[in-house]
Amino acid sequence: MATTEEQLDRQRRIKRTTMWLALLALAFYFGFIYLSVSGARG
Amino acid sequence: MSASHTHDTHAAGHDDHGPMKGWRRWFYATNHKDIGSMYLIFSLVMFLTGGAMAMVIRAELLKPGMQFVDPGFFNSMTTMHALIMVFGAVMPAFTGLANWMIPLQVGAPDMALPRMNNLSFWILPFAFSLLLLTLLVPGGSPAGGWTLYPPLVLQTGDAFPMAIFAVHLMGASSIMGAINVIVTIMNMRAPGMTLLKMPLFVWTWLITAYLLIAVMPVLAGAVTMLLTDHYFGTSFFNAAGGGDPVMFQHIFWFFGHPEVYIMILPAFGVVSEIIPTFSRKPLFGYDAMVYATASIAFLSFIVWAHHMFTTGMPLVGEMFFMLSTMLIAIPTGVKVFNWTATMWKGSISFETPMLFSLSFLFLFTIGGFSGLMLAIAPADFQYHDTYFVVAHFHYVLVPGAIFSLMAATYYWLPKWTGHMYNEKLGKLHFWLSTIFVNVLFFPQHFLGLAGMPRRIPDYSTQFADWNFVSSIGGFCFGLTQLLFVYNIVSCVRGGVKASDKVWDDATPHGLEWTVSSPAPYHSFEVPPEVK
Repeated sequence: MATTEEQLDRQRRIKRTTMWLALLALAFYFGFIYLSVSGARG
Repeated sequence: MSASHTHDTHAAGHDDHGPMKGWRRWFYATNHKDIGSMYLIFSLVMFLTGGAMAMVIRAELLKPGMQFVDPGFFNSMTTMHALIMVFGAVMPAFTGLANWMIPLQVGAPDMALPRMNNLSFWILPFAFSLLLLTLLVPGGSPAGGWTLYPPLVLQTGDAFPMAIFAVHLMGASSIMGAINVIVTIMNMRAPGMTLLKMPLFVWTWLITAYLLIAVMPVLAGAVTMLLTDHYFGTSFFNAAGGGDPVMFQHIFWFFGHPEVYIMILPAFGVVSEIIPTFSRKPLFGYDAMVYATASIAFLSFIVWAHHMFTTGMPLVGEMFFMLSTMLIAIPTGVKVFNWTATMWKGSISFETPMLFSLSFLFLFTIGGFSGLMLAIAPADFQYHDTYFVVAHFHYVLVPGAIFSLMAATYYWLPKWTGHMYNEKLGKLHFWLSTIFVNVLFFPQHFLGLAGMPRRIPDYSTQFADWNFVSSIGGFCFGLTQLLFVYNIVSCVRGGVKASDKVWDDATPHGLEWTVSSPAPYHSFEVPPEVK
């Protein structure tokens, strides 16, 4: 059985990984729109 | 790899509880098994819906001339069939398998983010209701193909914003599902389960999830720009305003090609679980399989323009995309070699999951070879937008992705339900599916090479014979899938009791076989120790 400290540590790691992955997804979303805007000739 | 002790009971002494009663169990579900089951049922319903649309397409193409539907509706059917099969059937089915099997295979009690898991699933029925409702609005549902190319797609009527919103919802669901998979695998593995001890299904899903996070937002960005072009006066893809419609194709295929691997890498994982079990040998070249999967995923990002050779691009661009596409044959060849080597001198038995896996091996390889033909830029100028392309990607997706889903269902269904399915019926389903899938799709190679364009409701009489054969194959393949549905429903309702190991005569590896059959509502509350 995992100790409370281990559980808390796991919770922290889960939150951190989730946040980074969500940021990565947002970066791809806005990054591609930005690339399209900057690449437009008009 | 082995677990130090078995976990076939609910963990005693915890706040152990069963599922909620009635609709609340499903609507408020946070249990990975419940959510996995909902994903699988949803994808089966979508498979039958998309399949019904395929029947309309094949009925119209049975004979030359217009038979049943008008050309606009025919185009809607090809578009909706593709969107539903890709986003509603294949992707949710693999997510369902991931939900059910990843926690069981890594020794975790559940997915890391169970409430987000609930949201990921429940978005889907709304998204697909919205998409299907487009059939009823003025102007009809989208009919410009699943690729949504402008300016054609901008001619869609009132259905346009509904379809765009539906695509956004599907994307959001997939991204949340992918985040959940990665977070679970990276943080919830049982003690001792290092990355290179994970089952191949888990590995392939980990890599697939990264692909999803990288490319689903790109699709979302592309369709957002379509929306602003249509309603807010922007000119991303409008040449008259300084935009470029071909840029949409680049962005779409930057998403679209990895999407192909999103649908096939988990299939590789499934087959890599099943072939060793029924060959009674460990998987040949486990490490190489992992590296090959990662290589395919990497290469999938640098090959997108092979879908667009005919748009015109500099020669050096054609050379780059042709050669990078051909490179994918190397890691894929490693995989096919390793599955074959796993069977070499194995004590093979031919239960239904193994039969579907073998069929996958042969028929997916045919789809791979026709892909290599299409990768040759000068040849692609002839094949582009013909039925040869339709034959190619259907070989990859039907006897490829969908056969692997059927193999996975037969393989793990006894673990999920606690009952064995009807093996005779399973084998009948396999043989009829394998015969008719070839009757359905193989003639389409000939049609394409003879010059029949895709996405047309009528055709010249020289294409009549093979279209007739293909349609007959299609109807029979469609009817055969009712056997699959019947077998699943019968197995869920009852049948011969499955043992915990299920495949007692074979050699199934992995933690999922250490829990009871059916898998208990809560498993691995005490993490197993992996040696």
